[in-house]
Amino acid sequence: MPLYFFDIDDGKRSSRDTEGTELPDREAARREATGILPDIAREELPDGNHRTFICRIRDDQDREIFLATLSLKAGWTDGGGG
Amino acid sequence: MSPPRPNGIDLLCRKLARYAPLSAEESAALHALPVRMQDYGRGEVIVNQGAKPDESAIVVSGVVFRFKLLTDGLRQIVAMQVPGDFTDLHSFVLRPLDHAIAAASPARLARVPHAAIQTLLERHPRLVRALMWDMALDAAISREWLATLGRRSAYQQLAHLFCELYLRMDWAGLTKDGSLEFMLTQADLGDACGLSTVHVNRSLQSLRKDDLIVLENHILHIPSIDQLCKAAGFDPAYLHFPEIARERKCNISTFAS
Repeated sequence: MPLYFFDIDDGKRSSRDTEGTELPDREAARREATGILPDIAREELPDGNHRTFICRIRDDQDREIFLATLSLKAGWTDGGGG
Repeated sequence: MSPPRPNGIDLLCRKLARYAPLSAEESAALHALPVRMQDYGRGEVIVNQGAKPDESAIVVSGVVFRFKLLTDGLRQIVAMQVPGDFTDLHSFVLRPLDHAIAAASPARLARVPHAAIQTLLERHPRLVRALMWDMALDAAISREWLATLGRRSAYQQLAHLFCELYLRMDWAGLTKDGSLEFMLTQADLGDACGLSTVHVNRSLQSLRKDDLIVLENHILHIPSIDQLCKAAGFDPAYLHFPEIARERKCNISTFAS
């Protein structure tokens, strides 16, 4: 099975995947990349009103092949604060 | 001469003695159980979900796990068993099985016919309570897993699983210098924690970076079990090790002899 590398930037720190994960195909890699963002967001939130989570997939030739972004934008709407 | 490697029944007797000391007759009766040894390869399914086994098995060597197979084909690992543990004592009274059992590593099981368990319990009524204790301990471990799955982060879930496996293997005499054989794959860990493989990989890298684990060539090394327990928020009380209950006042200590 091909090896895919998932680099993740959670808005506070970015980590480069040095080990990779074997997956059957590109579609499986895409599902992993889009699936991991809400999982990480759940663990990292709540912490402020703005946060962007990014997952990049690299193939075994070190080429970026996919990019997923998940953004949180939150704020008071009545002019007040918390 | 080195002592003989403990077999599953020796470890089971030691485990049941954690509830109440066994008499010589009870211990002899357990050792006299008619067992059928069977070997399994890593990943092999031992009992299928929905089966109605007429035997229960005791792990002699290796690690096995119980898992639920969901309708969409996904797996959730719900418990692990190490040498000395019954894989499915409950199948003696609760059938068909609502889960499957598979080998997490090459494993040897001692299969005991339910009829022999029935005879054993009729002749040695005190063992009824000892085996009730064993099933209650299984339930205590399940409750801890439930709390972990629901409330701990991926990082903590993995750390928690490593702490539990380490302490249980250590109790069985199967660790050496903070290391144990570890055959679970990242996919298995994902199925145990309800995480994607990538999330498991990321969390393992974080645990490595924090110097809490070293995982190489199927060996899990834990430099400091106390530090790992702290990171996991792990309280070993649910494992009901009397040795730990005594030690807990100062810190979590292992049974290394």
